[in-house]
Amino acid sequence: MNSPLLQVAGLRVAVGGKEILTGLDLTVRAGEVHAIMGPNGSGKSTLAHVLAGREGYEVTGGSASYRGQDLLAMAPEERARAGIFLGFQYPIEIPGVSNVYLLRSALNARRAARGESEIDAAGFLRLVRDKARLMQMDESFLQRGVNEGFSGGEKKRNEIFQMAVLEPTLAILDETDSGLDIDALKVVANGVNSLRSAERSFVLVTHYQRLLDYIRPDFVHVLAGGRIIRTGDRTLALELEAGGYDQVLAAAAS
Amino acid sequence: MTSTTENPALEDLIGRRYAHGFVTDIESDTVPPGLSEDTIRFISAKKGEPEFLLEWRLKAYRHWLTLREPRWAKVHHPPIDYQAISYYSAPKAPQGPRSIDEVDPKLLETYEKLGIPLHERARLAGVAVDAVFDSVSVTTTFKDRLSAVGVIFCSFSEAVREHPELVRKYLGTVVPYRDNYFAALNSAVFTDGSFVYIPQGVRCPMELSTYFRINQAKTGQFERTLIIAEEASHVSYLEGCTAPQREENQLHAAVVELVALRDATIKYSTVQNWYPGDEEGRGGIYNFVTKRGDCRGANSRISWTQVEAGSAITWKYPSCILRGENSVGEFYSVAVTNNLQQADTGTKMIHIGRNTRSTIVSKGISAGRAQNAYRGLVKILPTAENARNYTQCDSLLMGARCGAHTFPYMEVRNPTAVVEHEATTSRIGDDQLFYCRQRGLSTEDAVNLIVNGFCKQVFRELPMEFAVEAQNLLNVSLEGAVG
Amino acid sequence: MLPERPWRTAASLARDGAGLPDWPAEWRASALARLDEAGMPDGSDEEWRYTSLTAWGQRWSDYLAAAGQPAAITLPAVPSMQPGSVARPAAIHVQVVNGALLTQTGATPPGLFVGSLRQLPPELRGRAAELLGKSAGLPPEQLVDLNSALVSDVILIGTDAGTSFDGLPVHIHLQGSGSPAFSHPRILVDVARSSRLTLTIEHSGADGMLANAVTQAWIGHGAHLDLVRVQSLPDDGMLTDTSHIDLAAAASARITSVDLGGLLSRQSMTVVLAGAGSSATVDGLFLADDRRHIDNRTLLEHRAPGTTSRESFRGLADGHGRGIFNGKIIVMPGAEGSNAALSNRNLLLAATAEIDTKPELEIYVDDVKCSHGATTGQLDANALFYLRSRGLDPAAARQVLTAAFLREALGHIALPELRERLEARLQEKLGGGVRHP
Repeated sequence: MNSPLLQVAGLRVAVGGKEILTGLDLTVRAGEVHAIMGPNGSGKSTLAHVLAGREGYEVTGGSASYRGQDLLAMAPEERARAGIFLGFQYPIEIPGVSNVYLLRSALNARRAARGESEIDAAGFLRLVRDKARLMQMDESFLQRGVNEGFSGGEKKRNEIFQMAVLEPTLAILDETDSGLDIDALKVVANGVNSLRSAERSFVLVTHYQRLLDYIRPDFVHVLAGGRIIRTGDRTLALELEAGGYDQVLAAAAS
Repeated sequence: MTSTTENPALEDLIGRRYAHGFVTDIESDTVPPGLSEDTIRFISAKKGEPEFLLEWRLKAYRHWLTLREPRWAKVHHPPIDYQAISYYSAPKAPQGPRSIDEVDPKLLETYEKLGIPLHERARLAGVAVDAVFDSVSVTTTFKDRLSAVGVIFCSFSEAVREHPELVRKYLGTVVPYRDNYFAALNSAVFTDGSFVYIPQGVRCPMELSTYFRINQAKTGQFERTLIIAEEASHVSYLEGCTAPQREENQLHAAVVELVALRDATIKYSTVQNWYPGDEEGRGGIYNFVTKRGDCRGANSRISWTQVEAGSAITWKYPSCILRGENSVGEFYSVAVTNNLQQADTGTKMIHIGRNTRSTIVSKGISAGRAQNAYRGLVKILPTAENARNYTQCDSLLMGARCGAHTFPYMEVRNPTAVVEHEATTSRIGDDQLFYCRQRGLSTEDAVNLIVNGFCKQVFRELPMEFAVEAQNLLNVSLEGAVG
Repeated sequence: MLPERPWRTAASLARDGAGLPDWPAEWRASALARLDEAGMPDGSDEEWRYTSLTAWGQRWSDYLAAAGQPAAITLPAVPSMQPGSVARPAAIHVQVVNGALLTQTGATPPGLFVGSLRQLPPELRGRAAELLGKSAGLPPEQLVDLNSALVSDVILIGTDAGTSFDGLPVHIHLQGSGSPAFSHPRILVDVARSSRLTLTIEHSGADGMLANAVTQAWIGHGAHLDLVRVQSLPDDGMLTDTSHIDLAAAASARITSVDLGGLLSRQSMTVVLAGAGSSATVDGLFLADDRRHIDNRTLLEHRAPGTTSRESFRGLADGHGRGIFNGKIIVMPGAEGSNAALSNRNLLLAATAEIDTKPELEIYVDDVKCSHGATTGQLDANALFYLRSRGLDPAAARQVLTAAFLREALGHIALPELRERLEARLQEKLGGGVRHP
């Protein structure tokens, strides 16, 4: 077995004095796709944010390491440059800053961190055009302000497009499926699937099983009360779909 | 949690060092401080002016004596001693600038250091420069090429000598000497500036620009610029300004008058980077400027774009009088204040003609202990059928001790007019910063990027050479940016 | 022409007739002294950019010339002044004529005081003195000083801590009577900690009236005030009206201001969010038709962390009317996490009318979210066309849309009868008076 890419052990996190994660364990190895499911308020988004380094969360216990490094000690941009990508549930609008400009800055920041030279303009343009095509995005999107005036679906598609360009090692997608119609969901899933590889891992945070019809996870975890209470394979998601969270929670409690 | 106020990168950005603070050691003719009718006669005689101009100056001076300094702007400063200022200072040189070869090499070097090489071969093709050093114009480039198409681009003094009929016809017709305190003062003591005349039907073949430099201590700079665009002509004009780093405040009280006749377009851009004073608010330029454009003819258009980064105090309201039918006025502004800088700036759009339109986009960025105010007037007169105005006014605050203020005045007297104003004030969103950092950008780069995005609507109105300078002023590199 | 220092002349007259034995003479004297210093506001004062007090001064001068003559009392009817049964009144009505309390109907239950300073029960004297002290402690303003100098009565409304009078609105009817008349109504409102009060103040009167009203309200910790101000002066009535509302921590206020009448009406309202977490909602409406000059100046001052304000004014100018809105938001240092939003929308309907608007922001902290928007224009052409396509004639379509546009401002009035009455007044005014180009 290869060593884990991400190892979360006994993680406890509080927001404003209230404990949201209460001792969470999660191990993600290279190439794996993990789905984290759970009812509203179970701590799914908190986990995604803490792994990406969002301020405002207080880690009160436990640890998280990424490639053997203490993840929690790293600044958000260090994590990003080390290959962690967070697909936001609510992507942020940055007026006046073009999508393509943000991406180029982001890409070059990673390359600089790895001691590589800046990408040349032609190569970059080729890259973003390819990936835009993959996400079935019109090229005019590239020049528009980051998420500025995008519809909900466009914003989510733009997140996956950014992921495709940045080629992360660990992608954490926070409710990327929410608010998408079935066609958009397929495009997003297709984008994710095309990026699956032996080196790249995914953590899909989702409320519904629907996304997992299109992206087949290796593991499904049920998060409730700030901890993972059950882990299984794809069939666990189907079980949840059929019986609802209540049944699984009740079973876990007994 | 990283608060924007404690952010070293941010402080770096807003605490940029003033790069143009050096002094040129050059022998100058400087009159002793003091202001009287004799001072004005001296200036007028020095310039060999016709009688009408001296009379006009004296009338302005006598009127100025009856006025009091305006107090309504949201700026504070100790009283200005107008008798302690020298009203004329010029580098010693043979009478008047002639060609580039006659200009003192020290001056050429000065402009070289400021990034404005005056040798035509070294210049960016397509930009003609009038270089004004303290009270006089040093040289004007590309004059021959411009005169070939009938464009007059020269110093104001030269225009008075060579084209007195044009000066007499237009001087003071947009900004009369009675207009306000500083306009009256300028009318009395102005020393030089630029003059532009674009003949009928001519599209000026290159960008025109004036570079203003204050060098001498204890002097004021009082330049006057007059741009006349005849029917169906077009001109784009840029100005830049810098001054040495000094502990005393220096006064800059300029007047700019623009006249656009039927179907003419004037685009006027400014990157103002006068010395802003140090972090304790010592020194810096008092920039009290009256700029106004008169859209006299139908379908004329005047567009002001300004990036105000320097000066201890900025007090200026580049305005448009929309007299001609279908005429258009625009004002795009970025004003950045840091430390103890104060800016009270905005515009006036006076709609007189039918179907006149105006657009105002103002972006204020305030940091340190600075105060940054937008003040604008949109006035729709009863004659302005179907007039339209749209104003967007946004302020960005960086730090808990600065201020951002918005004072829009809208006076509407025509029931077919539509006037709309929107304003927002906030700091850089934590969520925006995090989003950029999650994509791998440092906080510094993220702030630069967000601030640049905030100003984009204004920057894209600037001619290319100035857009780059403006963005550099915000310490943001767009080198190699795609798109 | 007004005599020099007209307040001195007027004060000697007012004192003769005031009949307020325990009136704090010191307070009056200091107000007079400040007036001697400051005089009346004029056009050089930025706050008075759009309103001249010349005609107002002329009327005052007429009043001084006629003073000493017995004023003809011609009282307008008090609208909707129908008290409920004595046992369970539906409302309390207070009629104040020329600044002095004339009648009061509806018994006040325990925990609520409504009345004149002159008829104050002994046990409330301490609290009244405290309120007067607070009132005098506000930063001086010329028109407030003028009121203090010439006031002939003070109306007090107070609640006890923890009480709630949502179901028992207090209606104050301020009426000017006699021609000429100059009155100086003064209202002090004390909404004690954790209590709730609903208050309406209506300005009306007879032709020739001139009034300079002052209302001051303090809303205690966690308390709430619902305030509706209605200006329905006669067509040649003149009013200057200053109000100051101060909110303690966690307090809230919901204010609606409606200007429908008068020749000259100038309101200056200051709302101070002095306590952490306090909030205010201010709605306004003005109808400057005919020859009316209606000037609304509002100031919302955020002084404490986490304060919220939302202000929305709708205005209309028609005929030879002039409508003015000058709304300022200040966020002071220390008011982190504050939110402020201001909107002003106006309709300008005649070539001889004018709208002047000046929404201002003064922000001194970075952790804020503030915005303002203002528009002046006409009715939406698409909406007009839509209604006409449904069979309405143009005049009716305009009337429907204009009423709907203005009615928006009445949506926060908690008293259904009052809201309906105002809507009906609006409809009536728009139906009869509005002309279109």
